[in-house]
Amino acid sequence: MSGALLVVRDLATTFNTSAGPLPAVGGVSFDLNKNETLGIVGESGSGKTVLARTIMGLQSRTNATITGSVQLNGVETVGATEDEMRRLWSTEVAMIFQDPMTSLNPVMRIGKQIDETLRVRLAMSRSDARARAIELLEMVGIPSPAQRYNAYPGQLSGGMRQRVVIATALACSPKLLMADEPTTGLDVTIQAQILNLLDGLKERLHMSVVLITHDLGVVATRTSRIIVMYAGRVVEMGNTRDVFTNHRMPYTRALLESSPKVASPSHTRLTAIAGRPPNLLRLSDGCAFAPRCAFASDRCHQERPELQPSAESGHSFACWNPLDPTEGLSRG
Amino acid sequence: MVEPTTPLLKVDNLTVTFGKGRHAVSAVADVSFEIYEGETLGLVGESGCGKSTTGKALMKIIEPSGGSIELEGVDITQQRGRTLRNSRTRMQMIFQDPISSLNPRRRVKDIVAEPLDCWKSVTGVERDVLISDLLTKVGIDPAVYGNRYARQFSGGQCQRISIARSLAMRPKMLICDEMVSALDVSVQAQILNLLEDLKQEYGLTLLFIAHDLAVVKNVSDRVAVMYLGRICEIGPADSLYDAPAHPYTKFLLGAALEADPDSPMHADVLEGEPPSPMNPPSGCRFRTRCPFASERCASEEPQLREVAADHRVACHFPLNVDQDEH
Amino acid sequence: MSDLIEETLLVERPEKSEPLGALFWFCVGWLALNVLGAIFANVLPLQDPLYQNYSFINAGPSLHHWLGTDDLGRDIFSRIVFGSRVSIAVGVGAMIIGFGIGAPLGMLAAYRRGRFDLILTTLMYVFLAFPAIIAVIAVLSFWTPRALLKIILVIGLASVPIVYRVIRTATMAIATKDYIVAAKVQGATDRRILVKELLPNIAPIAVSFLLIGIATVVTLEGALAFLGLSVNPPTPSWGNMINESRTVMSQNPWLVLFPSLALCLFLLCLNFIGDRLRSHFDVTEVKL
Repeated sequence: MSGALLVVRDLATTFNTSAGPLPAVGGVSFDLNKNETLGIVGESGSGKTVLARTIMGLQSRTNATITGSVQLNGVETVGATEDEMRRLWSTEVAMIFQDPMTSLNPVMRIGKQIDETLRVRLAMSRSDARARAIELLEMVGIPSPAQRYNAYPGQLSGGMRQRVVIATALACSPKLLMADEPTTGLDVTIQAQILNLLDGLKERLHMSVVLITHDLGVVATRTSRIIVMYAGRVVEMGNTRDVFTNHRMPYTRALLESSPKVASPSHTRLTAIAGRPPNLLRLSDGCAFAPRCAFASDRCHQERPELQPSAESGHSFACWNPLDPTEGLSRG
Repeated sequence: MVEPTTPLLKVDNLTVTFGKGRHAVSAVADVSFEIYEGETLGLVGESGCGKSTTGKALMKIIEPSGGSIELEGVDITQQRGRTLRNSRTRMQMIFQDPISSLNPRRRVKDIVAEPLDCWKSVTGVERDVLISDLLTKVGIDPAVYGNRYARQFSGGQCQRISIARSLAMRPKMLICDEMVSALDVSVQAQILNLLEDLKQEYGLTLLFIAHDLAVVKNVSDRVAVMYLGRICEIGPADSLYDAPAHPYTKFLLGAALEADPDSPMHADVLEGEPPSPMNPPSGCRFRTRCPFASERCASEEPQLREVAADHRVACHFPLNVDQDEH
Repeated sequence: MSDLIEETLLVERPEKSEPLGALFWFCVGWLALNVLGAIFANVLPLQDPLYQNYSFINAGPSLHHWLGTDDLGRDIFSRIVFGSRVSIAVGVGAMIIGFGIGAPLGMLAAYRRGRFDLILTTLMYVFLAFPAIIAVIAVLSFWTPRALLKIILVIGLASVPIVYRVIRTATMAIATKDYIVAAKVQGATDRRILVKELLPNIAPIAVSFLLIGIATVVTLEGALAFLGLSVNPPTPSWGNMINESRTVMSQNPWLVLFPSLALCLFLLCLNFIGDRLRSHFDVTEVKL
């Protein structure tokens, strides 16, 4: 496992709120190899964003307790000081967020924002940084990069802004890119452009990418492995194809079946998941999904299932009454 | 589907322009369509295409700059004051943001009863029974939740309450403006199913505005695709999605991300950005990004014309269709 | 409809709002005491505030005169109680005028927009550009003889523009929300929307601004008294008393201390209550 770029073991983040401890992320373990794309899928409240921030070391420890281990290229980040993390940020690992308008400083020209990273982290001279910044803008597909260098974020469209954010993140050629909902909120055609761009850059820069999203469509064709999260824990994990076609955890099936498909005919009845996502402040001892699960047994309500391996290698799930491996997803 | 002769809603050359002169923004330009009773028309497009503006103009929340809107044969475009308020009871709207759709300082029961109270159409015990009934139908237990304040509910629950409120006056038509866009996938499915059930039960006609192609197809009988203020294509949902005739529709469908690892990856991605509605391209508005654009597309604006049964396209060179000689 | 099971397994507790606190209620009590004192001053067993007892000039606090006497032998305590009438009357009266005119105009302008809003707001902003205090001083200097009603009227009118602006801004933030649009779409008349939808949401801001406004006006009256522009002596007012104390500060520190203390406490309580109410009613505040 020492060849893995990112090694996460038993990572847990618990917020200390006035209403009690809130276990936003619990018991997450996975490996990420070089040049691999991992998808982390979950709805709001599943803990995926907190997980990403914890891995990045962005989760403040003033009101949160973080336990477990995260090794980035051999460097332990849980418990690391901000100075230690700063050495990793941008050069080893970078993150892009959902809303490009809040990721970019609206009163600073975009060229300068990219420059900043280059000059601080790579100690480039002003002219070198400018040249590299224009190169980066071109790499992310911004037309007339030399002119756009002087533009303000407000003058660019949403898709363009997200490209600038990507350029800034990749300025120092990090080995790992964490992308938290990078295309949510963008138009469908722009979304396709951005995802294609990320695919291309990944190849070109030999980068690993962690794609965090609630949209199964985004991860279906662009990731090699995915992790499904529910109520802060990993409920299923494996190769993308295995998880989509041979999933064992009922929540994964429910998630797949509840989203409408373009390929299905109109007026197809959706299989909605009953109830609402759990209140993390009042989690039971059993499986968090049990109250909404059609297959829940007594054991499911009382004892929380651990991840167990499935038939295919690398595929694991957390369920006491898993689906039969041949059932899979029925194609409409 | 057998179409009755008079559509429930008939929109002719609807135009909405914001501002004046050089800075005028042409948000909706010459949009025409009909919706027949009992059907769901999906209105789909990307941001800036004018679909939300169209919905708001139909509700007269935004004043149309031109064209006509006929609801059950009556032109409501010029209506004002009491007549307008009267017409509005026949058409209701559900908004995108579930939280800001409800007054945080009012109780759920009062919010749902508001239309009834405005018109004093139903009072007393009958009113209370009606409210409880509506809330139960949308899946909110009136006994437990009826007296709670709107701010104490989740997004999905708020949207249910909005639906209940909009049905209080038994409208004939419901305009859903991105109503599931802000909801989680699992909640989305619940709401879409609910909508379908209520549509059957109350005999509603829906205009479903959204940007998510899969959601629109799931809900609609017919779909209209908009680009930069114009309708590109309008036709039955299944055939439009299976065989789109307008190049933009084809690109849109190609870009849609399906939750299926075996779905084909589309190499041809639509490049560039939509032009500004302040200065739309002459002729066909899509021509700047269309790989099939020709001179004719720049000089002559394509009108909607029928290319298959009930399937109309605004394009000089529609796909999959034999060309007429011009 | 079987998949629409509303989650009744976890019945949520109805939201428990933060208690207002002991200090809050103490302040309310103090204000209530002041107001009651002002209203019932006549029937309370107080000394005559105007009676000048020359044998007890500048006396310190004693059993007979709880807070001492001023330089004309008048009982300070009873003068403070009677003086609170002026302060409270000016504060409340001016705010009634200010809000009575400014608030409805502000709400209407923000809701209607258009030309009505444009003209009215421009007018108000022009007035706001002119320092209100100067205007008040100028008017009161020339409009003699002075009377309590005149003071209330002048200050009240001078506060209309600022009330207008605050209420208008608050209304604008709400008038664009979807639920207002929804109400319109349901066929509610404008009047109904203003009363049932907008007012409950404006009320918290309005109330706390009202309280702070009263505090400001009371201070203003004190300042006017300093310039000799408040009620004519011998009618007591807190400002008057502080003003009079200027000349006898070294001999009679009580005359400085007690009216100032009364004024300060009154203002502090008002401000505290106003702030507490604002944060209590703010439904959008995230309680972490």
